[in-house]
Amino acid sequence: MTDITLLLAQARAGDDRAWDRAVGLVYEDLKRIARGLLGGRGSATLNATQLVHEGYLRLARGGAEGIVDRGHFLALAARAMRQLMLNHARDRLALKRGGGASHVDADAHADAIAEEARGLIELDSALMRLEDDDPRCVRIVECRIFAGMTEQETADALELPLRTSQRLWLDARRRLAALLDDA
Amino acid sequence: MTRRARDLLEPGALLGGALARDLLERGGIAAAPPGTRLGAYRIVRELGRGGMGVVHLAERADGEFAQQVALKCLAEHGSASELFRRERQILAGLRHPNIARLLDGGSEAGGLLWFAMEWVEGERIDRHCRRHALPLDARLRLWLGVAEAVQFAHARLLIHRDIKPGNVLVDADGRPRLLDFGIAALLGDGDSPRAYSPGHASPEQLAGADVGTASDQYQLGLLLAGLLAHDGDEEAARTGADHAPAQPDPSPTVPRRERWIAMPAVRRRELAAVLDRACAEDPAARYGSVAQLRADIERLLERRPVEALRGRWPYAFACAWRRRPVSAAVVTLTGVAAIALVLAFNARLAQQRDLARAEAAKVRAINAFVSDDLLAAADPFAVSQPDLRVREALDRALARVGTRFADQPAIESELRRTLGTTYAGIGELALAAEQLDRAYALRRQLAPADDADAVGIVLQQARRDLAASDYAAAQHRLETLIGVLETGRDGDDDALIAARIALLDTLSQAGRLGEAEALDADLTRSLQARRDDDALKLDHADTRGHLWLLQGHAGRAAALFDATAARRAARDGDDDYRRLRSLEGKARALRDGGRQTEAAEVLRDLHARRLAIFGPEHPETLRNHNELAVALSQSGDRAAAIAIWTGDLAIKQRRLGPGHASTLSTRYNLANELLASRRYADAETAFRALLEAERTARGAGDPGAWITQMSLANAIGRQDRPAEALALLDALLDDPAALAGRPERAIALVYRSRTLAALGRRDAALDDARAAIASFEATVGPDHRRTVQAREWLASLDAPAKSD
Repeated sequence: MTDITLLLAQARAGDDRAWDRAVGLVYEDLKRIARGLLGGRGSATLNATQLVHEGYLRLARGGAEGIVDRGHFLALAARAMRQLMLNHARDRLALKRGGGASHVDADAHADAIAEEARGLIELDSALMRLEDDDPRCVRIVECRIFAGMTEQETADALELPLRTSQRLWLDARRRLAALLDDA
Repeated sequence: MTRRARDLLEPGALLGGALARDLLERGGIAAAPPGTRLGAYRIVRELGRGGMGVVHLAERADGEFAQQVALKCLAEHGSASELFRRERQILAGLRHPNIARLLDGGSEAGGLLWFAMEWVEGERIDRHCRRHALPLDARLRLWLGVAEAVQFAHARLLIHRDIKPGNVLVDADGRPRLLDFGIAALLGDGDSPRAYSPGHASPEQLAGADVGTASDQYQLGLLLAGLLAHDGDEEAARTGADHAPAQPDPSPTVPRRERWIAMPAVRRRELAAVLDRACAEDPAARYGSVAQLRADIERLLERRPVEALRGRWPYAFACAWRRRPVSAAVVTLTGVAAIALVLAFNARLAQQRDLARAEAAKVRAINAFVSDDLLAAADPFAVSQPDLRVREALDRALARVGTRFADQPAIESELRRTLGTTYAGIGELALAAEQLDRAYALRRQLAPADDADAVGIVLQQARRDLAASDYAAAQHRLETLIGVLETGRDGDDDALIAARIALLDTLSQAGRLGEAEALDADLTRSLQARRDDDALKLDHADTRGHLWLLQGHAGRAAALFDATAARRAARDGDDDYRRLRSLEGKARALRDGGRQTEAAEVLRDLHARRLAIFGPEHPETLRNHNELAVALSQSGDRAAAIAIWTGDLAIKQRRLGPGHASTLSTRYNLANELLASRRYADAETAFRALLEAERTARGAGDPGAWITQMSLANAIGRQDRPAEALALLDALLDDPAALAGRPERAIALVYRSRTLAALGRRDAALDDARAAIASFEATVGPDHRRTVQAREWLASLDAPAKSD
């Protein structure tokens, strides 16, 4: 965990690569948590937001002194969740299309998953385009959409005034809608 | 299609949607439909979804063997397949009766991993235990099978990493089988060994640190804690409250003892200590190996002391008591206290050892001093000369070891507390007070007044006050303590209740029965919600029983003691010392209620138990034996009482010496019983021996010796040697200090009056009779049996005078 501590410190100091690597580490964690959580207890009580919190708790318990700032971690986790969800969406679509087609029941539930997966992949490409334009908007979207954070939590995580955060969120939605229409 | 993407912009739409749920539910793995071939196996049907994937029932597709296997599919992209193959070979060679063997495995295109392992038809181990309501020992034996398997694998450098109830099945033969060995390890690709099941993970797994055999040990501990749960909620038994999965209890390791199946308190304590050790946060604080953890559980099954509690002195003694009554029998009450002291030293030294290994030589020297010099010297039953005083040994220990720990107040406080308790145990109450006061002062330098150790010392001080009959001091002490505890603690706080029970005892003994009764009612309310076998509730019941005895409700008290003894038996076993204490209360209540025969019965049973536990020469046995003799005497079986006292007197003479208070008291009881049995010559011999012993031990002015002298005169007078009797009585009554203001003086006057009458000195006899009546009226009142008897004596003296 000292890795993440160090990377977070570097990211804070403005090192983007450090941020990406920290996201990578958290991503691996979230993935394992998502898998692992299936075993011990029923998944009915679990939601994706709790997954992110579990990731945070694990870090905090691991004694990562650098993660004094919960908000900072949640922003990191939001990015990791985005990757996790995206990869899962790709896997699902791959199974559906390829040789694994017979492995999947062609039921309504599977269709709903596939449709969401496609929507997510589209949204992700729109986010990538927005990133070039205004990275702050993307961070806001990640917090709100992928980590299930409230307006206040988002503002805290990104160290923005609440009003600014709210304004950027509305801005981001408008611009993403436009980008999706263009597609 | 953009509609779907735009919908996802609504907060909560994505995370609450089907894709997120699918991610969480399946971890991205699809079920393989029946008929699918994986390696040499064909899927028959899905069995369930496990921690890391989907499990299928499968069979050999090549028809080579009609073998059914459990086939587990996992999605793990980019796993190092080379490593996987090598490990698989090792695992396939892992043959142990308690391990479901890994048979085969492979990876499919697309990153799907599969494992085929022996299919075990069985029930999850925790459910098995509960469904069959297995007793504790059976549960421990099942667990031992699992631990043995893990130990076997560890010897081959294989770590399981995911031991949990779901991975242990009990098969049709009742054999526990550990599943999924090494699979978690296979999935941890080299530097990130992080595959685990949340809720069953070790702290180092959670921290992402290196995972070794200690992590398996931790999980074995959690497994054991789960097996001890009496209800179906294995999670709650192992961890804290019911928690949402994503917000686990911050300390998922604390075993919840109150949810465990019924077991004796000592077993509960042992298991808690074993689990504390096996599930220590710090891997270095756990057992050195699973083999050691296993060995401790085996010790527990054999009722030998567990390693996890070694050095905690009351425990070590309790074990010796439980296991080897014969060798524990040579331990005296004072010896016990001395051993307690030694063990307290040892526990402290163990800490020192951990702190500074460099000082090992010094530690050894102190250890040797403590065990060879102090222990040997302090145990009067272990040395040939009973005169070697325990006190001297303690004094020496205090001087030498006390200074050694002088710059460590916490240790010094503990030592002085133990010394104080020891002194109190041997009746050196002034020294006890001094040590306890210093222990308290030292403790308070380090901790607030409501610190557990400080509270413990105060309770000990109050006990000493009571032993010294200083009720006011005890009351003041306890009321101050209660005042401290009442600020900032709940009314049902254990320490507070313990202090109030001690106060109840104090008020009762001080005869302030009204106040005691009010406090008793108060305590009853505080303890109302607790289980009937709660330790404090039972302590309160015993204390209340003694209050009732003082209030004269002997019948009610007997019933209460009886119920309390039964609860203690169910809780801690028939021979638990607290149960025996409750039985003693019952015997006293029966005796007070005039039910002497029943009392003798209870005491006989008590004595048999103590005899078995301690042997015939232990002070506890002897004290009990004395009570039995008193009950026998009162129920009229004087011969039996005399036999007991004669036997015990010989033991006490030899063990404690002729001048010991306990020896003197037995001699007095014996002599009195001989007198009451009209064996006057024997009584005379006994009283003469007693008088000599008393004068040697205590000097001529001892009140006990006056009474003995009086009884001796009585025994002599009964043998028609009035002149000798008169001489003794004259010597006694001419001494103005002797028996001044005591009713015994009046009794002596009656004796002398009878003696004078026998010598024909009627006038002198009349004078003494009148003086006796006046003295009785002043001391015990005009209506007392003694006063009435004295008046009757006077009347009989007068009668012949009138008839003259």
